[in-house]
Amino acid sequence: MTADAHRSSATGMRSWRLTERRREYIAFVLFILPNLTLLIIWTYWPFFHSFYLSLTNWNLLRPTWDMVGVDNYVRLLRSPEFWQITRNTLIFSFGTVSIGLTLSLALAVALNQWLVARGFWRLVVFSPHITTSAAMALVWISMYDPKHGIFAAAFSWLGLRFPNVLSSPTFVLPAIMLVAIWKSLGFSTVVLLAALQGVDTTLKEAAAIDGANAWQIFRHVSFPAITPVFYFLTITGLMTAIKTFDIVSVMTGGGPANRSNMYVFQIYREAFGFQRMGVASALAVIMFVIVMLFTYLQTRYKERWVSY
Amino acid sequence: MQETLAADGVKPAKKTGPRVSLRRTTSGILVHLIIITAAVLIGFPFFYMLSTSLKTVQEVYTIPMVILPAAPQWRNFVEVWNLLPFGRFTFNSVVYTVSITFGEFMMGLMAGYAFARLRFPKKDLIFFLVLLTFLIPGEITLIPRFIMLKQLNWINTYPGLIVPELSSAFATFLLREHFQSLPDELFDAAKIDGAGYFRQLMQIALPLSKPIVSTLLLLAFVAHWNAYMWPLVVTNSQSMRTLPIGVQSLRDVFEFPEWQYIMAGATIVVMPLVALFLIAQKQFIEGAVQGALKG
Repeated sequence: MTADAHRSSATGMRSWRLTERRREYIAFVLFILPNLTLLIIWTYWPFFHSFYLSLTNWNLLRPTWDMVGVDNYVRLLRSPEFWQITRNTLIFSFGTVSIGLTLSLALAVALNQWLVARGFWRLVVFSPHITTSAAMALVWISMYDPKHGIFAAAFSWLGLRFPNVLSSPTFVLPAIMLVAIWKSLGFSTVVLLAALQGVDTTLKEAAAIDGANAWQIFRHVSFPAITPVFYFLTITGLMTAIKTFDIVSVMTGGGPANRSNMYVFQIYREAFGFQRMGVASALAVIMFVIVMLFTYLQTRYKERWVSY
Repeated sequence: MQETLAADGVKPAKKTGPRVSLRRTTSGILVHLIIITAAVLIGFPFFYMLSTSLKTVQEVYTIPMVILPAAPQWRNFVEVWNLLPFGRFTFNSVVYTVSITFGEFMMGLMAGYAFARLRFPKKDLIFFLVLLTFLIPGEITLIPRFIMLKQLNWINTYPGLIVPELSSAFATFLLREHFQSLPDELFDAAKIDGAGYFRQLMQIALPLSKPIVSTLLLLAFVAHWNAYMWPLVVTNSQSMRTLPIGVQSLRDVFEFPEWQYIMAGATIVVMPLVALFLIAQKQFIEGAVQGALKG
């Protein structure tokens, strides 16, 4: 092959690759454009817009609005209602996640033993996870019925009176927490079970040969191996719990006297009940900051928590 | 999967002596008792929903409680279906869920393929922009979106319900990861045959992605079928409500809550999901596990 022929074939090659590359660029743009356009219009823009809205006194019922700076935030932070709602949200979130994960871990350990029809039990435990919260909330209202519900029946069988939990300032938060735990238990159980099944059996056998009992094996071999998953479930569980809306909206409407009100329901009520878009946006921004804090914890302390 | 796991659990019992195996039997019974109790408690709301939905009014209001109806009242379902426009709610739910699930999937499929297999300057940066939307919860975009829909006159319409929900970072992310794992040779052969990028995607990449595609579609279907806040905010007339919202009106229909009808309504909402779950439980559970263990 002469040098000349070699060169001409190389240039031919290059021009082919250029058009090929151009075609690839065009294809890339066409492929990502629908998704990217929608994300910019319906996620990025509203996201930034809500920061702006939080600095205005926009009311849907009025044609004009003014910039009010951080007034909405100041008003929120000064109102006892905001702190009540914050308290509810935190009690609800930490309560459901800590109780829920403890129960899930126990269930996952039990499911990881020798069991008849393990697949069936796993199916039952998981099932609440896929059901409609808003519909199952109706079932729970019915079960909580102070006269004709199953709890009332069980209590009267024991000779006790079952209170109207959903209109009791004391019991309303625990009552909806139970629903949230019931709903979320299956997901974490199934994930923890998969993590437990992934634990190296040779490590467990080695520990057993060294004379460790079942609890010691769990405490020093299995649990350390699944801490990353446990940590992940804690953080995502908290993030989901903070954003709870459906069961509050259906079961209590935040009542009685705000005792079961939480951030998202309050955002909804400020915006679509009272038309106060500015205050509602400020509350949404505050909630976003809290959720971001958890996201940060999730990435930041992941490595530190993992102890093999 | 179930058989191999059970077999795994049996193995240590065989190795040990008779005394230990007795202890294993008692602890085995204990474990079964714990699991059965837990399953009964967890499954109870479903049982309660079904049994109440088949009771007569008298049975609902009897004290002490009637656990099972004497004769199942199947006509409660017919009556509740006609009491409110349940046909319309179901139609709206199907339109809403199917179009978002499918649209979201197509967006994710094309974008995921582009990010995984096509070259473009700074494409990782663009991907990062898509990924960042993961961090933006729907609760913070709700109010501005509502204002936009109002300006577009899209409140209480199908486009208003569907279009803002169509994009998906999640599907893009998962499908990109999957497409990156496919061997280059498959695509090289197709390129030589002169197949365009769209054909490469549909005829080579997609058929090799059935498990992840079915998981994605199922998870999306369930999430949108269950959606409550978004359709609640966007719709305001009964004829546009989806099932989870429409069923709530059953509480306003009666002077005293007629639980048999309300439970029949709840059953109608949940039933399609339960059926889907029973058919495809493996994908559901593995989808949940994959999502969590990857994160």
